[in-house]
Amino acid sequence: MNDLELVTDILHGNINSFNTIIYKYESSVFRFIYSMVKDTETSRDLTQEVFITVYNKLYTYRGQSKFSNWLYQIARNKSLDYVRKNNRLIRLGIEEAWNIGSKDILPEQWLELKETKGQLKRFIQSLDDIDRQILILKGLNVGMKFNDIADVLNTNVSTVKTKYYRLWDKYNSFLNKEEKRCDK
Amino acid sequence: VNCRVFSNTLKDYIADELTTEQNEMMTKHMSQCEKCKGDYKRQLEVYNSLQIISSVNDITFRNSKDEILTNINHTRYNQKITNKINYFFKRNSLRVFTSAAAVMILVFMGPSISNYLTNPNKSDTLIQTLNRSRGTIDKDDTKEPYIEEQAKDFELKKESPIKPLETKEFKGTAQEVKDYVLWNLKSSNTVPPELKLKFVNTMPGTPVFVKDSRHLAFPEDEKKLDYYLVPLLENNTIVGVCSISIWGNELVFGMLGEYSDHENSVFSKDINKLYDKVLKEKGLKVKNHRLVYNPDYENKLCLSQLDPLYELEIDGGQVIYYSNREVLFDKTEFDKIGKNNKKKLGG
Repeated sequence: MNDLELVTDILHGNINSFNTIIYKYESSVFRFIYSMVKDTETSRDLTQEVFITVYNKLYTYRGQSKFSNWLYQIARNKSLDYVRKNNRLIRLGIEEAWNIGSKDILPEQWLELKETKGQLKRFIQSLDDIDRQILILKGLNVGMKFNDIADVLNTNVSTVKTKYYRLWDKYNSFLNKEEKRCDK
Repeated sequence: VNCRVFSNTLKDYIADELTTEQNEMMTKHMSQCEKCKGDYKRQLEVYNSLQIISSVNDITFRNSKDEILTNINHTRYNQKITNKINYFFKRNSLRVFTSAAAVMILVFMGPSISNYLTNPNKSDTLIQTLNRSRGTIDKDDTKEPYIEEQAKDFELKKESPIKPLETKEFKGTAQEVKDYVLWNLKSSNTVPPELKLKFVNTMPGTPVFVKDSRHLAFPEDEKKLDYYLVPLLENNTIVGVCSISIWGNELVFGMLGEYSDHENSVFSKDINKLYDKVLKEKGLKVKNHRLVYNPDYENKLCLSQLDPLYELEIDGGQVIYYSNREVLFDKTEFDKIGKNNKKKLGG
């Protein structure tokens, strides 16, 4: 059964199909939310909230965009609401984040990092929210295309694509430096 | 595809953003060019490790399926007719029903307005109501594309059913407008064809009891000025109740829920039971009763603005009012409240 069929099924009163939806998306939604709120317990609570909202508002879903996009949009909104309310993070708009770009870590700096373990983690941490969200979304779901990601993040495809490819290059040079260091 | 194009498109290729045709061209080039094939392998590795990056976080995921499932209402989407109508209304509230509601305002107001035209002194609050809703109806004007499209087969097609509110124009057309609204409902697949819908107009400011609660749809109703309740009938039995409310320039059409034959409901079979007890104690006998607009915004006389107020004509011609606080008061008191609350009512 595809998502649309599952949704129709739920709207016809079959709760088991909602079970399937949870099973299919819960962990992805959790990780996506975690990328924004950065707290395990909160992410767990928000994930629950997202699924409850999805269920309660399911009748408003008209199938004009992918169900998963809709789901992640709700997850994103809930997370941003939370962040906003709790002032935990300063959120940058996608364009602003692009312009500032101050969180870049120069490839040389990677060499100075002492442990190999944890570098990847630090690479992720060095990213701004939007980059991280793009990366997480692209990594979570096989089949999530750039236009889906753009849909979820409410921005345009080319921004997402440029950002992702930029991350790709950055990560690539990070890996190259790693290799060189190992050679020495 | 040459090497330059290949290298420029490589990321798109790996990220699966190309068309089937483009993919084929890329594969074909790789089979002929070792250097590009090498690039592909290297980049694919980078991509793959980027892809798993999201699982690098030191987070432990515990599923909370059980919590979610205990926190949702499992019968929310069951197959009851009222449920279907409910979601039909909600889903279409913007697309269809801003227009339909505008139409229905005409239905509700038609008779009152005719009354007003013949007896202008009798209806002070009505003018205010009209003034408020005129803006609304002008706003939801004939440009609504749904109506234009769907109305083709309908007999009102020559004249758009939604007119700017001019009192003369809808004299005698209430039935047509009703028909139109019904037709609109029926033409959707969500409302079962066997369901006979009949609209009954009620006075604004009256309550309704639905299965689980009283005025379920608008708990935060303080500022709402006009409120209409419409029972939906199936074989002469009320199956559900929907509402129309107007405040400012907005119209909201909603489904309150499944009907419940609560003894205090405005659609209750025996509304006279409500006041009989009180009147008997006073030794009064009612000749006529009717629901009237409730101006009691302070809620001194009624429990809330949405509660019913009955105008009772007593044997001997005296008029008194009865509210759900089980109090009786006379016309002087009623007029006084109305006057005091005029500002709040928008007058």
